[in-house]
Amino acid sequence: MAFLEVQGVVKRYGRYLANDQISFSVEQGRLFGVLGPNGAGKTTLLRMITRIILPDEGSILLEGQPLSAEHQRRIGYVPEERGLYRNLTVLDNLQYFGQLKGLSRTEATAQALHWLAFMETHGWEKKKVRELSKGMSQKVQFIAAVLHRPSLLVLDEPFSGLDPINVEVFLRAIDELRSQGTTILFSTHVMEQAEQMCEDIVLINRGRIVESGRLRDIKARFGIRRFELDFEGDSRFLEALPPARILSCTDHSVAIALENGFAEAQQIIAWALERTTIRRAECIEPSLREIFIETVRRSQSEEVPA
Amino acid sequence: MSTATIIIQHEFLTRVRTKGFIISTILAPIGIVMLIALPLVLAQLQVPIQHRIAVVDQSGHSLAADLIAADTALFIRTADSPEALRQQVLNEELTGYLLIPPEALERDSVVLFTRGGGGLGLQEAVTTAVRSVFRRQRLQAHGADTTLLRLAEAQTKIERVKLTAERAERDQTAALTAIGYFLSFVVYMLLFVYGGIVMRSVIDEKTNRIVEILVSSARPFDIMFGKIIGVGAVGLFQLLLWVLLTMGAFTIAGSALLSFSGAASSAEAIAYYRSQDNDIAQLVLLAPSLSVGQIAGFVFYFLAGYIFYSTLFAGIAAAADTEQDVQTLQTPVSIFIVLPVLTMPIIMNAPESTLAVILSLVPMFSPILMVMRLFATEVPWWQLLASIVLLLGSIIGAIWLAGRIYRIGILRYGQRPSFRQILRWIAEG
Repeated sequence: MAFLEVQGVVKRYGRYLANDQISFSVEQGRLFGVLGPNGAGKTTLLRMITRIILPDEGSILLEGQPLSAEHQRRIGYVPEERGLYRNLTVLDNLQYFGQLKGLSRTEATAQALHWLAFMETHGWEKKKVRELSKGMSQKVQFIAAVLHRPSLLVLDEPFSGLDPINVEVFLRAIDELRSQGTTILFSTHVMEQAEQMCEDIVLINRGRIVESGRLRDIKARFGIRRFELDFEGDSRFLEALPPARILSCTDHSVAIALENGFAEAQQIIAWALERTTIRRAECIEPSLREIFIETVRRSQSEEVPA
Repeated sequence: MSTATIIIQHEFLTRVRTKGFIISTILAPIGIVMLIALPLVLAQLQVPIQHRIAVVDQSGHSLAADLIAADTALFIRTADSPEALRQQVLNEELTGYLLIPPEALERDSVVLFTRGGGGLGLQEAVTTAVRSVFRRQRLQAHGADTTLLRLAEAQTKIERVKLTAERAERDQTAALTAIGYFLSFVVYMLLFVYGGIVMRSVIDEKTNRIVEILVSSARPFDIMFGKIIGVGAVGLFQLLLWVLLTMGAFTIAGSALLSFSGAASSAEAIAYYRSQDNDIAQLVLLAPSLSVGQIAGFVFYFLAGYIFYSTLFAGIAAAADTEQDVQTLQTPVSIFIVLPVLTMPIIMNAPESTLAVILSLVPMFSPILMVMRLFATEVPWWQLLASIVLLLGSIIGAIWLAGRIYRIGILRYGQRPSFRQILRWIAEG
């Protein structure tokens, strides 16, 4: 049984279809990415998973149980935009949000101080939120979502606007939570980040799932399409290839588009070895960005006739 | 602790701890005390000026002597010429001089020379003295004996006492009406102040996206109603502190007022301040005699009115997209708070009139107008019951309506919804 199951979820705003028959499941303890371009319906989906809004159709199950208000205490949510009381102190904010998740005031305070130290924000507790920079309040927002040790953490575009040092702090916090068994679901449109972090993804475009599964499987399905070769000496061996297949070329390196995957790469290596000195040969998997762009384009062109 | 309790506690504590709350709680009663004390202090500081008027009698009667006998402090005998007196007046040695010409009694006129001014008090003193002396002379000239004269003057006195007694009755009502006016005005202000706090707080949570965090932890209805209850508790707490502070201030001010007036009982003191036209002093002395029913009515109508209006304000703020939107959208509701204040004179003049009864039963108006009537008159029990039932019914309606608007509106960003959209939210919710 999957930890979180989304089954045929539909959400409409008036005539606008924000989510259309979304189904996927998330295994316990995984880092799951919800990817898609801006306006794809990611936030709507995350809001339904956190039970901020209810789906018009379909159902969402947590450990096999339909999502209820009780489940909210086991979920932590970091929205895309900061939502903190600007005129209250950091600690006042954290205590309140912790209490709303079922912690006592004392527990909330202890957890707040623990996490403030962990996020390298020690000594901020008495500061008013309006005095904080964007990165600082983003950390406070994150702490507000994890104080109560949720079993499911939902993050909406958690890294947008963070500098690299703060991204590291966030990644360390996410690792810490995963080591405790927390399932983490996050949305992003920054593909490089998702590629580094996620094990499983769903790719959403215009409210529909266009791709989903384990990131490795998806990449394997797209196959190896690019072959890079660094060489020394004679480059005439390349004349045997149709010029259209050469993606880029210098006097010591070449990128070749493969039509037949791994086997074709082997043939090229054998051919080149007889004629030049190979320094490096690599089959390049498609990047998530490439998969993303291709899938989104394909899904849009499919939509046109329909 | 339930989520709703946590929300109520948070809304209450974060507000009670602010400087604004502490300052307004302390300053308001100080303001009231100042209002009471200032006129009294000013009255004490005022040094009465002794006016002196020389009397030149050319009539050949004993008019000058009579005048001086009537008011020895004001009128003085003189042997100086009018020219010398003129100089004395201009040199401010005299307030003025009164010339009684030879035919004064027959022509019934005298001339008062002054530098002008001196106030109405002086004019009235001179006029009264001159007229009574002249009347006496004329009566005597027509053969009236001393018995008749004394009788005439005695009659005048009896009439004045009667008038005073009659005014005392009417003025008690006037002072109570003044208290009712004051308290209904307090309700009016608190509805705006605390309704405004709820409204600003809802739009603040919406525009700062705090509400997303809240809704991911609690039911929208609990968030909205927890806020209304929490802020209402702040209002009630402030009111309680005000009552305690004002009671303390009134006790001190009351005994001070009693000793200033030199009266033996507060009833006498009230009569004294009535004659001084000091409404606030009367109010202070009357305050301890207010009934428990009147106070309970005041607290009930404040709370019920607050819940009714703050619920509507919460719904409006949830539907709005920016703070400017709120200002526009709140106007139709605010008008209903202002209207009863405009009709207050009707209630004050005729608290039992049909119009007053109808207006005070309308649920939007009753929190302000029924408070007024409770103090101005004896409100029949059926009218009270009817207004309470109507008001509570309206509160339930407002909560139903605002709850639906709140639940959907609070997460909608980007544009101000049209009236039709809001109606659809209500229907869908």
